Amino acid sequence: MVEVGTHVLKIDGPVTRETIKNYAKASGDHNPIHVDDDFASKVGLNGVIAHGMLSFGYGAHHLNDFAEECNGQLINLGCEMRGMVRPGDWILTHITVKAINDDILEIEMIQNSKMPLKLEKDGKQIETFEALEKGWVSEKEQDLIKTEETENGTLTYREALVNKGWGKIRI
Amino acid sequence: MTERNEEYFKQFIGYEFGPDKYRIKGKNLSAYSAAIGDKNPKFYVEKKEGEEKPDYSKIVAHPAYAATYTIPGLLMQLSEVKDKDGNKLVKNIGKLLHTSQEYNYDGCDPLTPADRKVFTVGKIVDLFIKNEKLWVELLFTSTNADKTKTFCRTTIKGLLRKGGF
Repeated sequence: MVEVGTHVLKIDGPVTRETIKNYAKASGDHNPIHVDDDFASKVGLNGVIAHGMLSFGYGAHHLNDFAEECNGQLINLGCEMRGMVRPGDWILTHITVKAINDDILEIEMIQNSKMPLKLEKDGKQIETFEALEKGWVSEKEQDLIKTEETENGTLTYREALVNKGWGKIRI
Repeated sequence: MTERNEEYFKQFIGYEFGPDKYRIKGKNLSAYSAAIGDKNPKFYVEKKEGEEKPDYSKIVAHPAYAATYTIPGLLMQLSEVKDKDGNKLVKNIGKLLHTSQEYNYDGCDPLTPADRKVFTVGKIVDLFIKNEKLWVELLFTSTNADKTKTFCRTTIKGLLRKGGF
């Protein structure tokens, strides 16, 4: 039963250079900032970034699945793009029912990128990720760094807003 | 030339441009859906081993697919919008930052491979200057050739940074 406050979390990733190339090919958006590390670095990005529409596409996928689970139809979707996605990032899509007006579910869709930085076990660093090596976490983002216990050790990552989205489902 | 202040830019509100024509192929619809991880059979056809040509005729475009047939072509056409004296609205399209989008399918028809082509026209809905940036709101309407079907109404918002307008 869907009600105001119903929430689902979907996780995609990790985004890879292959994922990004596949999206470039499928969408026809071959902007080199997405597929050419040298070019992206020359324009100040310090490596490729994923298409904004790739993460939004993941969100659209989950919104549509949610609409189908509600026996409804997705009639509107959109987002404000707030942040970049890098290779190695996971995309966390939070779908929340914010209101029900007659036969319309008003949905909030928040997408965050989870950027792995390092993995530690027994006080020793056992793996570092590209994000840490390339310095993709800015000074301003230091307070977005978190840790979590995983079966492989303590993961340090940065979680940041990527897309602030919405949708409408007719039920 | 008139000073390019906010009043100058207001003349472009209501300006229509396009159409931009985009070819629809079932194979591409399916590949797009796969690229965003959605293998729902409504949008995607799995190619079976040994199968030469899968049947894409029964799928429809993914709700996110409108991004491919609206944004790139129409934003390029925006760079050709001119005032009555031939001065371009956009001086440098490279300064355009796309900030938000909304795809409205209410009352629209599903887009299928049988539709073959999508025609999208753009309209400038709003323009204003804030924080030394020119903010732009565009409405794109995507239809078939004879406009008997509407596939999507897309609202795009963006801004032109200094030097772009």
